[in-house]
Order: sequence, then structure tokens, then C-alpha cells
Amino acid sequence: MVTGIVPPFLLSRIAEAESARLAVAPRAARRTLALTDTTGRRRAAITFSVDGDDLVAELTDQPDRTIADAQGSELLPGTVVRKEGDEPSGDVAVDEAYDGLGATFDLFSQVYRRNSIDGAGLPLDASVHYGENYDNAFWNGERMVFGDGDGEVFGRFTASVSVIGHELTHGVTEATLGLEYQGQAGALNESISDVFGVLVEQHGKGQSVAEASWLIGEGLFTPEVEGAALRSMKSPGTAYDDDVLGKDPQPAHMDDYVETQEDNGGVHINSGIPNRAFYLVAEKLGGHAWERAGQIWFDTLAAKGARDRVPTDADFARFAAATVSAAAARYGESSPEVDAVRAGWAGVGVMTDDAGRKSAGR
Amino acid sequence: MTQAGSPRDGESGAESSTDSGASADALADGRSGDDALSVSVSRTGGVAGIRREWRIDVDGDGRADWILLLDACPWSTAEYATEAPAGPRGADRMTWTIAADGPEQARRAEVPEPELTGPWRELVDRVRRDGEPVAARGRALPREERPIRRRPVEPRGGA
Repeated sequence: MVTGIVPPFLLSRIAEAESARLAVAPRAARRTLALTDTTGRRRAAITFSVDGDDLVAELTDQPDRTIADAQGSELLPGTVVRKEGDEPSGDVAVDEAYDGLGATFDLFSQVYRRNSIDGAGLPLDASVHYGENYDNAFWNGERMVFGDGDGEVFGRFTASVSVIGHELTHGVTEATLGLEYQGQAGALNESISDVFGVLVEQHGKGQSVAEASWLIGEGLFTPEVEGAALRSMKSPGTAYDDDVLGKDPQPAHMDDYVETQEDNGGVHINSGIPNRAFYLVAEKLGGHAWERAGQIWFDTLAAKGARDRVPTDADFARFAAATVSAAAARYGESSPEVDAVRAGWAGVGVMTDDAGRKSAGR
Repeated sequence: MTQAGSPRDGESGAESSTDSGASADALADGRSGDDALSVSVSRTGGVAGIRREWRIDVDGDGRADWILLLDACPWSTAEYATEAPAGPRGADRMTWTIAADGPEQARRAEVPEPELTGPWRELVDRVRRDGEPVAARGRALPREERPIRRRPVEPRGGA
């Protein structure tokens, strides 16, 4: 539910449409309307219910998804095949993208009160069936794009909700911190996408920290590949070990930080370090990772003043300090949350404070 | 997944094995007689962050055709382009590293995925189609122990 003033366009709809009927409806009556404001951007659902003599209206932000089919070409966006509210198309990639974007929208909206990528209801656009045997999914600054995979190593990239969440989160990071896609800042950018990618999956499945796999891209590999997923946040470096692909190169600790020119300075490699830090924080706090650990990371990303605390070229230490500040701001300086955050970063060798040292371990 | 094909099948390496850094050395020494040409294309990055490489070793009939294609690629422009900073928007794109080693050729370029068009794209597609995937485990092998697999290439535009 969105707190604050109900926009005038909604009030007028309420007045004209349903109130008279609902006022005499049984106590249990609820009715939800999907509404779009006149600019066509922000969508919301309004749910009416009757509580005693009161008509209660709850306003919930809704996604505005459009899925296009590139039909094996590399021309974007392709042909629109499913818009918001449409029935399933029957094309599995289209429907997985639609559902995955919805699950990601729900996490940001319901848990963190952020309305889409830009916080203002930006429509979510995706293209599927991009390219021929295309082994990737990416964010191009405007839309999420998914390939079908080559069928030998990778299957279709929409098969993993964590990957869909990962791509959408790149949009959120771009709209908030704007972290450079290079070196440690780039690895943080990647890690933030992995964090919210796995949280989308955990939130959707209702999994606790202990129940979750903490894998990114589970199910993307074909059965030919010896590996479970693209990355493991719980145990970076263990996601796959395969003759053709080699071994998962992710480090789990600063001691093993990989200096490389490839991959924008190893953004998909060194993200293992902040990924593991997040896992350690979540493990320490227990319960649902999206609640406290996820809230701290979200605040670091998007709370007021976030950009002042995390510059676009931030390194791990700078980001770590910002997560401690975020935890302190929300839960208090002397809180289990602050201790857990310090311990998490100490566990991967990014922080060396006393609180961390006590509980650090690899 | 196991490596496609045995590293030791086909004509293997003795007659074409060369010292490491062969092409540059051969050029410098003015040696001749080894006209082996090898082209490798590898991609890094992408959401998976997994490096993949394909490679073809060429001699004989198809060689001239490959050289034509290599010469059509804008190597110097690509080298220049790699020094430009990454674009401000977008994430999880891949980068291709393209290398050609031969008596007259020792070239290398990095080409961001969106710029992989025209002859670059044709080159990458042909190496992937006609060459062999290089297994990650194989990369640890010294150059002289790498599997050599020779195949005549089909004429350009062929099936």
C-alpha cells in the first residue's frame, strides 16, 4: 500500500465508479481496479473493502510490463507480444520474462516501497529471443534483453528468476548510485544485481536464509555442464567446475581478489567478495534475507543521500562503510544489524574492525 | 561437460608445432616455411562472466581466404576503441578478443559486443562455425602442447 495522498485521478475514479455499490456490499466485499493515470506512466491497483461503515481503499503500485519478441534477430525491441494485463502468451520465454519482471517489481515495491526502476513507475520493457543461440542476458540502459542460449552450454536466460532480477536491478543501480561498470565499483554494481536477484527469488518462494540456495542463475546450464549455476553467494567459486567452462573463478575473500583486464576488470569475478559479505550479514541476522539485510543494502543504494556516501567510483571499503551507516540509521548504532554488517565485511577481509574480527572467519 | 573431440585426434602437432610466440619470432628472424595461421576468438563478460574461446588453425587451401577476411577487419580502429571508457549505460555486455597469429600476422583486438559487426562479426561467426571450442582446462596447456586441428575452410559464402 502506498501511504500519502491519493492522487486526484484515483479519487475521481473512486467517486464515479464503485463506491455506491461497495457501500452496500457485504463486509467481505473487495474489489480491485487497475488504474492508469493520464500520463500513462504510473499504474496502480486500488482495492476496496468495507470495514464496518467505512469504505477502505488501498492503493498498490503495479508494474507496467511490455515484453517484445526479437524473433532471433539482434534488432531491438522486436515485436510486442505481451503487455501488462494480457493473458499468458504460451511462449515460455515471454511468460517467464513477464512473471520475473513482476516478481522483481513486487520485491522493490512491496518490501522497499520503490515504484519500479526509477522510483516513479517507469515501465518495464524486455525483449526475449534475442539473437541466434545467444548466450547472454543484459541491460542496455533502457530494457532487459534475454537470449535463448546455445542449447549446448546454456539454455534460455529467462529460466532463472534471479537473472531477471539481476538485470532489472542494473536499472535500479543506474538510476540511484550510478556506479561505474569497472573495477571495484563495477563489481559492486554486479553484486548489487546479484543480491536483489537472489532476494527476488527468495521473496517469491518465501524462503528463509537457511532454505535458500543463494545461487544466481540456477537452471541456466544444460545438463551437459558440470555446474549448478553461474555464481554462488554463499560459497563463491563453487558454482561450476567443468572441463569446457573451467572452474568458477569467483573469490570469496579480499586475499584472493583477481586483478584482470578482462570483464571490465573482473566485475563478474570480484563480485564474489561483496556477495559473500551480504550472505554473511543475512546468515547472521537469520529469517528472511530481504527484511533486514536486504533493507540495509537497499538503503545504501537508494536512501536519501546515498550518492553522497557511495560515489560512482566507490571501492569495496567505501561501500562497506556506507552499509554500516545505513544499518545504523535504520536500526541504531548499537544494534545487532550494525554488528552483523561489520562482521560480514570483516569475514571477507574488507573491514578489520574489532566487532568484525571477533566473528570473522572464512 | 567434456571437451568435444579428443585433443589428440586428427593430425596432431609435431609437424606444425612452433615455439611459443612463433609468429612474432618468425617475423623477426625472417624464417619461412611455416605458413600456419591460427585465429582465436574469445568472449568475456556477459551476465555469466564465463570466458569462452574458439580457435582454428589454418593452412593450405583456405589460408588466402582467411587472410582476406582478416585484412577486411578494422584492427587499428578496434585497438583505438578499447581505450575509450565503457559507455555510461548498460551492463552485462560481452567483449570479444580476437587474435590472429601467423607468419605475416600477429594481430589482436578487443571488440565490445555492440561493435561486433561487419567483418568482425563474420570472422567470429566463421571461427565459431569452422573451428573448435577451446576447453578452459586446455588453456593451461603450454602452447606447444595445445591440440592442433587442421581443417580446410570452406570458400566464403559457402554453406
